[in-house]
Amino acid sequence: MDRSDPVVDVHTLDRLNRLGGEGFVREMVGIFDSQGALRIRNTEACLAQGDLQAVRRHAHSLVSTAGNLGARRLQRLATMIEQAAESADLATLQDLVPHLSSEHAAAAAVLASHATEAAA
Amino acid sequence: MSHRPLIAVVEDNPDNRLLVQALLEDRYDLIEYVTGTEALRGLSGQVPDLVLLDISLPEMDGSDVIKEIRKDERLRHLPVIALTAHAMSGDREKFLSAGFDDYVTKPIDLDTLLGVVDRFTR
Repeated sequence: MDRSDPVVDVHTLDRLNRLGGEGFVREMVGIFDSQGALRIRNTEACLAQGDLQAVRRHAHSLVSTAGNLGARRLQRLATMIEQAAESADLATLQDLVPHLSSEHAAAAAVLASHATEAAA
Repeated sequence: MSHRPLIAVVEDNPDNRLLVQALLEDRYDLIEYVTGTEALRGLSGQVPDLVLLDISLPEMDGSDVIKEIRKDERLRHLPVIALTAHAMSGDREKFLSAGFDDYVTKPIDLDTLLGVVDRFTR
């Protein structure tokens, strides 16, 4: 997996902050935390059930959720999973999907740390 | 009192809706729909100045929604912009053929969206 992307592109966060302020960014991060975790659980469950259309759908949503906050590594991973689901590439899906939780957690940690710095 | 254009946002992802709201609410009135069915029901009662329509909606996707919109005489000339994660160079013609007036890719680039919205609500 390509790890050259930043975990979070802070320029995206700064742009969001200029757009809507700290409260808005906190709300977006809250959605990233809760919806992101839900979509990952759904992706894992649907893969276990062999429902690749649902895997594609959940990964597709995750691409946006990650991209909106500049979570580039998670965004790239979700994109690869979406493409693998579209081409029914089970081997790639089984290789990539287990990494979603840790990438989401890594991005969430950076986002939380950025919020703490901004509030200070 | 100057007229603020009304934009219908048809998008099932709450973070995308929040982002669009933050970008547009200072200059536009917004009405949000989460599904295509809900949007068509809403558009039958209140016609906005512009529609931002997600392609990947649950149940009825954006491609089917635009077909229904263009069948309606009252909505035939309503500007509709596709919000899509799947777009490559040359896709603009594909979206125009499908009945859209333009498209914006996701994750949403704020400047691009604002430019497209401004162009179609002038």
